Amino acid sequence: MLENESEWLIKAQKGDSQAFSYLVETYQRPVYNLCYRMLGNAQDAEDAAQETFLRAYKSMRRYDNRRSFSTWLLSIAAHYCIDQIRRRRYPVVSVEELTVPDLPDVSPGLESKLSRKEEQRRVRAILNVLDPVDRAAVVMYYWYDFSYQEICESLSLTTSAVKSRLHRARRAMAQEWLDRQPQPAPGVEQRGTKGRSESLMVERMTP
Amino acid sequence: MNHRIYEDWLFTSQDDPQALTPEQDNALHEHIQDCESCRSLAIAWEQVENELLNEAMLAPEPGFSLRWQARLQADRLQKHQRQTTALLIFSSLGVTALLGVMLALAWPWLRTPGVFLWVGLYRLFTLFAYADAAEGFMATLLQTATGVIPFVAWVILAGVLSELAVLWGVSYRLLTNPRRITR
Repeated sequence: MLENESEWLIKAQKGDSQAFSYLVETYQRPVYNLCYRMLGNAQDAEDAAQETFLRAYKSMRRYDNRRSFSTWLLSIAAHYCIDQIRRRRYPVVSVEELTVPDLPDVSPGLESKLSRKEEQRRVRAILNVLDPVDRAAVVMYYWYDFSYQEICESLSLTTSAVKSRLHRARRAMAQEWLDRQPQPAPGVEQRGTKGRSESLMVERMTP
Repeated sequence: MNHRIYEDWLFTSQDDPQALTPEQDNALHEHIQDCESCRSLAIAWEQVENELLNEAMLAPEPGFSLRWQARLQADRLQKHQRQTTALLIFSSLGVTALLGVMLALAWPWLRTPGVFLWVGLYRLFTLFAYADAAEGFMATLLQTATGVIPFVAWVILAGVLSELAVLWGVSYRLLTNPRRITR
């Protein structure tokens, strides 16, 4: 598979559009996912992913074979999405108004599907509060397991800048999560997830 | 109380659990046990991190690569159209500039055509006079040459020139004719 990929890369660098189509087939999912997490809706994510592959195809001659192709491709996608967000100044849309694309669901049942959609809404809501570059760093860190070095290369930042941005993003997301929590009625003891998390947290923090 | 430092420690320890000294770690732990807002923040972050880690990677609608190929074709077509338009605009500008220069040069003639007509006629007659002089010079040269060079040498010269002409014709035909590819 990897040998095939390096062959496709070499052919694509020589301008073979068929070889590049194989690369599109292989990397469509990570690129689309990054665009979706950055832009927040399926239509814009599709456009951005298509544009990313088009830009990559046009820049293939400049691609350095020693570098990971996925890192290079995701870097193009992230920069494009950051530009789009800054240029269009995306309007703040209520998370409830947005449609959520269907995921390939392995567990049957309407309840499970609804729960996953709700989770996606929550994730999108907390990502939406972040600055575009911070958002890209968070997506690369949590969805793609990128190291700091890879994030640095992809976003053209220094290691300390990446750490600082992730730090700031985590704080902002936690604060947003807190703000979105429904306030408990006075006198009612909180139960459920929060109660469990609290006991887990205290347990984890105990030396 | 200053919560900021504990919040910083809380999020710093997410990247590297060894980043805090044991004293800082203890202080953070004690603070989280006592402080409701920092505890809520820590719990909130834990839940956010769980959500992020559990969130699946989304896939595009089926047929993505086919749509990409169509987009590539459309992009190529658009590029071709842009190049054609640019070429047309460039050519039009060139023609316009050339016409402008010609008009600027001809402007005095257009304003006073009589004078330029006379000057033109004068130059034409001068040219005829030069041509007549050149013809006389050539005739003299030829007469001198026919007297000096014998008749046989003329015949040989004519023969060589004819052969060279035939050779040029054959070469031209061979070089310009399309090649036949045979198996």
